[in-house]
Amino acid sequence: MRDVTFGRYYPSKGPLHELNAALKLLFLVLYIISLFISVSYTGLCVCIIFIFLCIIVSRVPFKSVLRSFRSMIILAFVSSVIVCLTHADNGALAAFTVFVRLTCALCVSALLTLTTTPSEVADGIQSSLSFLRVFHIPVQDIALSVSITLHFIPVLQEEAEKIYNAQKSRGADFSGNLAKKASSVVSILVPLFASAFRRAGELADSMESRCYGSGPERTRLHSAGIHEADVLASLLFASYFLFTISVRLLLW
Amino acid sequence: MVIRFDNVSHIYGPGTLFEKKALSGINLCVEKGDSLCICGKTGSGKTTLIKHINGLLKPSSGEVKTEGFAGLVFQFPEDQLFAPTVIEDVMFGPLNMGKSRGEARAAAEEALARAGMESQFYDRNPFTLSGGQKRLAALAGVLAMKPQILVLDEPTAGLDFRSSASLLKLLHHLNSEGVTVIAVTHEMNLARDYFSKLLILDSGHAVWNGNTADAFCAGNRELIEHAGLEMPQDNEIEFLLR
Repeated sequence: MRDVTFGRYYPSKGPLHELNAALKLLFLVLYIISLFISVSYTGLCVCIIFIFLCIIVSRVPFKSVLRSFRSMIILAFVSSVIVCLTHADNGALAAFTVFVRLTCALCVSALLTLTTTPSEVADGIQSSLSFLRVFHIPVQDIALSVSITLHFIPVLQEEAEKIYNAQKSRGADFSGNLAKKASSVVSILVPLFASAFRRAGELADSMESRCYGSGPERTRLHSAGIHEADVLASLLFASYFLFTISVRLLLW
Repeated sequence: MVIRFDNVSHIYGPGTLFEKKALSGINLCVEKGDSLCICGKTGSGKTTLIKHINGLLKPSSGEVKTEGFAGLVFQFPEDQLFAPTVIEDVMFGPLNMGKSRGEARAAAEEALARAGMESQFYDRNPFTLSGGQKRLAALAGVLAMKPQILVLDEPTAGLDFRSSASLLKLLHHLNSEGVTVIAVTHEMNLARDYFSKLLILDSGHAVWNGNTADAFCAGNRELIEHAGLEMPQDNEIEFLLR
């Protein structure tokens, strides 16, 4: 349980931490697009090398990145096996494609949350989607929901661990037969849901008592801005993106 | 000797940026029937220490030995209630220990009676109880496992005067029956009035380990204040009068 680190910030102060969050979100989307553009071994290897370089640059240990989506790798593996078996011709490439696309997409999302604090993510979403306000879409509310969700992952994780310890001290069995395991899991889930609802209620009350959301547009304490590093990163990323496109066009 | 800590240290997240040394070089001996109070300010390592008693945590270095079953009552134990009725929740522990339903029910009824909850509460949903009653039900959930060592983390936090007095009376009673009672608190009055042994933690180090009666002399004032605690009121008044 304590190994679920998805959505947890890793404060190693690498250059990726300093980048503008809206830009990082844009890179994330473009990177995933590049994964889908690449259909050859060469193209997919370029994507893998790129994400490896990003992790090295970020100064987040590989272990932390891997740990944050370890359980999902099984899913990626199973789906690539299924694809391999159902494809008559060139099943190996199809399986490789599915595996690389899934794991690299997970990897890049993990890297985003590891190098960006939840409030930066929320600000990034808000500023990159603000053009949608023209269509009367409540961008600020969406960004707030995302930020609260991200904030609550570690909180609930801590809570789950507390309850896990308490039930384990009462002899709850998490490795025995299925019936025992089920009752032990229930003994965690019920209090966890109860506390999640209670916390949500308390948060809503305290936000309302501060008149949240009823005034004019909110301003920010820290405005992100674009710095030299952001320009440099954009140039690097653009060259990567163009490279994957040219690999696709030239090599197919 | 029921609990023995030999030069125990504990490090959280070794080798990561979150690395934190929570305990360093703790030596502790607890005899059967002792009542020990562990004091220290927030983050001094109290909870980490008690998690070693029933093996929830393993020491990074050093050795912990315990004899008999240690029941742990965590801070705000009311957050662990989950069953549809109070009696079933209390039966959870005994059933996990392999007791039959009949035996578990008997143990649960006895534990609830000890905790001062009458039979009308047995079939109530634990979520409909008041905060104080929830805590008693959770305590009964641990008592039903008949622990030889009872460890409580901040047992009186958030309780009103009367509830905490009756809880402390219960602990005293259990202790006189031979149960080793260990409690974590930062209320020094409580430590002085109810516990014979005292362990004071300061940033993971044991700065006082001995009889409670000897701890609150004027000479220890600086040590206690450095640990972020305050002298019990009577001792403080005595000091000021001098």
